[in-house]
Amino acid sequence: MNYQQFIIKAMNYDHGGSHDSDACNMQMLFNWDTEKLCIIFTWWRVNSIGFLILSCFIIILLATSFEFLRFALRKYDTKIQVSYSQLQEGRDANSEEVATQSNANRITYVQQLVRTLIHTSQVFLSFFLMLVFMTYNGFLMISVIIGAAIGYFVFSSSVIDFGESAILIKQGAEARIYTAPFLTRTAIIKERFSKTYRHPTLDKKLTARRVTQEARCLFKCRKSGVDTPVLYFVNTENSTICMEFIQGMIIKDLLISDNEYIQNKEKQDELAEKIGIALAKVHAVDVIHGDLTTSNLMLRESNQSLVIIDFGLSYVSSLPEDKAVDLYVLEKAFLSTHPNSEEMFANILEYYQKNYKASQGILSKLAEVRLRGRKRSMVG
Amino acid sequence: MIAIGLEGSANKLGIGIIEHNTETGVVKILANIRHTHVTPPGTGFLPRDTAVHHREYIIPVIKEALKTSNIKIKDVDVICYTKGPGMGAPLVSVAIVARTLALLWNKPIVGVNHCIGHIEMGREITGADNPVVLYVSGGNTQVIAYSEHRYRIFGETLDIAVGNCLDRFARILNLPNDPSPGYNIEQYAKKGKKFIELPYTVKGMDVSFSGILSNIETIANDQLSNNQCTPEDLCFSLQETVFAMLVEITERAMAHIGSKEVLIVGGVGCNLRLQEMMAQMVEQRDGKVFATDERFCIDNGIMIAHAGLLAYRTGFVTPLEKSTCTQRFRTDEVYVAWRD
Repeated sequence: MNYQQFIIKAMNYDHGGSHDSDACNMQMLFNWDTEKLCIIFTWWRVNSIGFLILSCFIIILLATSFEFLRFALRKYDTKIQVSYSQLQEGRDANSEEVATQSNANRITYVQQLVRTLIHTSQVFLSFFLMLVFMTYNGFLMISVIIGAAIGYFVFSSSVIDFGESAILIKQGAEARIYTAPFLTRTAIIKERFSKTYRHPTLDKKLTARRVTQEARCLFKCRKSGVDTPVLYFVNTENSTICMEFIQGMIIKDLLISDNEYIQNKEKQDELAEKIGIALAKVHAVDVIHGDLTTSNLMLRESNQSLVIIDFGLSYVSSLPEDKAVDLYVLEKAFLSTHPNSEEMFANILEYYQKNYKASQGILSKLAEVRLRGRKRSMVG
Repeated sequence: MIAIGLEGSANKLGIGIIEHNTETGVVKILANIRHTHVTPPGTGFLPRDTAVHHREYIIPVIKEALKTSNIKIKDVDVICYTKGPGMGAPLVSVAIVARTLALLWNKPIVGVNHCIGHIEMGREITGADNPVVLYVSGGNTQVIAYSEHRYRIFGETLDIAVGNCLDRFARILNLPNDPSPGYNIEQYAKKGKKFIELPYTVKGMDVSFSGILSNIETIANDQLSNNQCTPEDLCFSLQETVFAMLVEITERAMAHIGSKEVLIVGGVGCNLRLQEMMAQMVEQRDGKVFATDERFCIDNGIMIAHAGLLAYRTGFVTPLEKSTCTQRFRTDEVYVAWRD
């Protein structure tokens, strides 16, 4: 043949000639081919039932791995979160919103690399399986589906009601804290669990009462201008509260490890003012926090506003006695956790007094309450 | 080194003799004798009668302790006594004997804080290293943790002690005070079935018992006569509620400090139900509970001897003029020189 004929022949060469046993039956329509089936690669040709079954098995495995990778990423993320909350464990109070919030974005490069690897493999696998699906071969398509089903059944795990996206960040004295997406935001989910040491009747009653009290007081304070986590959702049946995730630092950590606050009197004074004002607003609406400690006060990262959290023991009362005891609890918490903080606490009370008109009676009650310390000499 | 400890802050008179081997650090209990002033059912013990009881029995008990320990007076290094807190007259009655013996035998004196005695004995017997301590007795209810040379009080009762609450309830039910009202409440509680709701008062890390006491008194008067419940049910409900409160504040302290160990000391610490509930709580947190038996839970002289000797070994001595007693002596007032 001449040169032109050669070219034409070459162009016509691999166009599915059925007399060529090495050719692929490239279909763009659904089929049940068991022969001349080419799967993605030129060397992956199925020409016998046995090899077809083997190929299906491999596809099933690949689809299962896809689900496994999703599971692995989730597990790895949880591991990172838990290891951070364990680091904070020693420096932590019975409060629920924990320093992991401030560390939520800070993972190491290695950890991010690992996560990227897992994610990329997942992406690769997903497109690969798509290409397999595009062979339009019924057997292969079924294999993909079976693999996905097995994978999901085995690996989509023992996770709570909030879906696979809830990550446990802390187990406090009272409840488990998770982060989870809520509509478009990140939220904290506080799930109170039952205490086995308590009598069941007592336990149920106590838990239900605490959930409602917490929700009500959170809302009441927020309405009156105190910066508290915003209440999103309350479920009394499983004792959960869903609220805003505060990005920021816990005051306890600031006063212990942040040198700026330990040494700088001005910073301390600034902080004392914020605390005093916040407390004044809370008491002004007759809410008793019930568990004021430096672990339940946070500084919001975005605007440095003081946030009061963990209203788990709060209730409503107008009695000066109760408000004085509330302040006394904070005073004791300050002095036992942060030695030499007497001056700062006195500043807090000063700002509290300046911002709360009815505070005189409360502060004189506080003086009384202090003397009530047991076995304490009542002289002077 | 050998120390004698004299304890009499409440109705239990205890004399203990302890030996510390300063080289090996081994602690040996040579004698631990106790005699309790028990009052008829329906009554509590009064300071004056308790002091009379102590004065009557202290010499025989000391003699018995010396005999049991088989030591000579010249072997004794220091005499320790309870400086406080506690009831005035009984404390002073015991202090006088301590001073007299010190002058008679020419030995130094160490005044010991009763609460510290409980804590140090508990640590020694159980081997707990740095636990959160729940000190619960008829006179005290405190949650304590060690920090920088002091036993700091993290939470306590705002009014009466839990043991006091239980004892007073036992009086209402006319339970016998022998061996102790709390023990009898525990036995009754084991047979209780119906759970009666009582006020549950936890305020942050503190607890309050006077409310629950007056409430259960009212319930007892109403319901017992109508046979709506049995005394066993009341004991059961009272224990479940107050112990749940105690376990809760202990758990809060544990979470606050980040500790995994709990040590229960004090008379109420003998209660097995409290120990059981605490164990359940710490299990959920992967921790451990340490508790002692009645020889060391209940007020005794050996804990005074032990704590006193620990202080004495750091160079602490109480001069005669200062060997007084005080009814109000906070746990955190003592400088703990023997720990770092």
